[in-house]
Amino acid sequence: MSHLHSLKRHLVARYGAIIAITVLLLEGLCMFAIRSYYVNTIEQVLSNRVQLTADYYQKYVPGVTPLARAQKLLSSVDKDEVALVEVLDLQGQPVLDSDGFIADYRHTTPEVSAALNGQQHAWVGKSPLTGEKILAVAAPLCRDESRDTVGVLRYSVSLEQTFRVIQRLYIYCLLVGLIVIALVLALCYSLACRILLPIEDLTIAAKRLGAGAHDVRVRQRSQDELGQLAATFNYMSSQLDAAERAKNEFLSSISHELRTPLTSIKGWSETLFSGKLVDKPNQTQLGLEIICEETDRMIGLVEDLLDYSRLQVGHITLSLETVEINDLVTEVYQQLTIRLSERHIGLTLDLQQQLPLVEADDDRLKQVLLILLDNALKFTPPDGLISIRTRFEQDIVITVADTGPGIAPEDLPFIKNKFYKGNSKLPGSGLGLSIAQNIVQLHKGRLEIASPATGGTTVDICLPQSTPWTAGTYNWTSKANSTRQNLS
Amino acid sequence: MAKVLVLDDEIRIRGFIVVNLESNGFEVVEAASGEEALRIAHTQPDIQIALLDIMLPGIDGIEVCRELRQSYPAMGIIMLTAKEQEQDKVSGLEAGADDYVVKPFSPNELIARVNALLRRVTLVEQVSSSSEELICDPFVLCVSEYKLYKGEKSIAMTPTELAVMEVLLKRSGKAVSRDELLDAVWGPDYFGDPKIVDVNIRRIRRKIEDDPSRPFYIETVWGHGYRWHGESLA
Repeated sequence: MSHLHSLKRHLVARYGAIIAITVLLLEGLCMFAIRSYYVNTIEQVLSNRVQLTADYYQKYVPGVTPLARAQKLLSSVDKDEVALVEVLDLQGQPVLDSDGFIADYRHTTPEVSAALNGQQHAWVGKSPLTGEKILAVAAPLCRDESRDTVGVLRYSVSLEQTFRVIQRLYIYCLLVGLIVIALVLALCYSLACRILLPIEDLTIAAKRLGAGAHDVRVRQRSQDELGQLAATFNYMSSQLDAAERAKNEFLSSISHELRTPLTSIKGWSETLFSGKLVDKPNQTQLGLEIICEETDRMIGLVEDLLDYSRLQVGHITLSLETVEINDLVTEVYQQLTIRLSERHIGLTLDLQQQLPLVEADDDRLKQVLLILLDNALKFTPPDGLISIRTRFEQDIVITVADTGPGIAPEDLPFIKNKFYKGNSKLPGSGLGLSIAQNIVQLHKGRLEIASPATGGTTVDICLPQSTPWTAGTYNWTSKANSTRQNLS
Repeated sequence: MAKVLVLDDEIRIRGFIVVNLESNGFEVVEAASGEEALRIAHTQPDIQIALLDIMLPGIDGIEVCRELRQSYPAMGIIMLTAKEQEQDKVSGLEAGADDYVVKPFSPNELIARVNALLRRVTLVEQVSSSSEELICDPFVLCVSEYKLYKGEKSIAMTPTELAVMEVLLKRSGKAVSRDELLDAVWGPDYFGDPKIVDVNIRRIRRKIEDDPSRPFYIETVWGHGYRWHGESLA
């Protein structure tokens, strides 16, 4: 089942990868947003302060020397200010910072350069002085109305603390992401199993079925499409099973049917051959008669089988002609009267005059009638009555009715099935009705069987009357056969 | 003249069987159904052999066999089976038949089987006049009554079972091969399935063993045959 496992791996890997990429992208986006949010907020605050302080310097701070002004300015800065506030001269060197120091150092970082050029600017980076990550905002300091820059005001804060917070958030983010990915992979896996387990079941079952097992059933794990597939498979399997059983029953019934005449033939022929009956001409005669009759019985059986298999493959062609049903029925009736009188079974004929004509195969229709009459004969006790009637309703109906025991209701749905013999142990292949049904269907007619609880069986052959535009214009054949003929 | 009952619903098959039996000097009574066969058997208890077809409308041959066997343990019964399946052979033998013939069969084969079975049936009758008893504690094989006594309990035996028991008891303690049993009981010209020996042994075990699934008196000698557990009589 390696291909199935690889399918499982595929499913998990593909979906896992898609989900992982998505999650990681979202994570990245999220992290970027967090960082931006923190840094921007701080920058915003610092920028506001720088702006305010610079405006204040421009308007209100008195003093002559830059140092004095710087002192004045820084003294106005809030005592709780966390940022380092510096006043730089035009070279970027601090004049004074909020801690009261004067550093001997020149700022060269971009925000200072920008401020020296008259632009307020914010910068995030590593402080060259402390090596810490810092956010620094610098603004030019101007005096009065003259827009000349006289120095630079610089606010800077360490971002180390902030970044630590951000880092912690990053880690949370990643953890959540990983958990999500793991969950998704697990879901993928279980989904793959859910899909593949039934498929695996089906594969194994199909293999067993192919290998000739008949009782193969798949567990139906769900009600979804795969569950339906399993149910369908089970249905198929049960149908195969039924077909197999029908075949076996047929084989055993056929072999019994063949064995009985064979036993007679073998028994009688060997008896005759052994010379035990040399001086008994009557028994010799009887033996020979039996051998002939039993041979006929076997021939009949073989004919039935051939007919049936031809009908199944559609090899039977109807040679259609316009048939007068009453004539056909009468002919069959006359054939049978002799046979019936021997067995003390009455046969009545009741014809409706002026029946419409029918497009039919004369011989095949006779065959159907004979099959039905043969069945009636088999099941009708001596002194019973068999009647043949014709009538015209929507179709032309030929009815064969007998006064036999009828058909058990539980057998009725199956009797047209091939090889079905009910409980009957009477001779016969169990093919007759199946053949009759096939022939009638080729005539586009119906075979209707009824057996009321009061006993007796009635079979109707319903044939459509011939329509003017089909009468004699073309030959109905079974479809498969017409193509076959065209090919040959 | 030995009397044979022939049961088959097909008159054509019955016909040649009757002709052959009669030309071999048997007296024949015919039955076309199981019910008829039982009725005839009850009115004519001198029937020695019954040939029973299995597939019959009404009560089938197996059932007829079982009932005949119950009422007439000494009757020889041959099943005429139309099926070659193992199950059919075995179920016939289990029901108490002595032998079976598969259709289609040769009349000569059937006559040979009937004769072989008749020998067994009459052997029992001959012995019965001498009222021989084979004693092998706790068993007493009383041939005249077709009965085996296990202590006080009597066990009804068919002619075939009796013959098998006789062979085993006479050679008590020694292994008897399946072929020897076949020759001694069914006759040297028997050409049926040797499994018939095993089916009869199984039937006997069911009658005499305390636990038929773990036989004590009749031991199986693997790949060979059977042995009566006990002291040698000789």
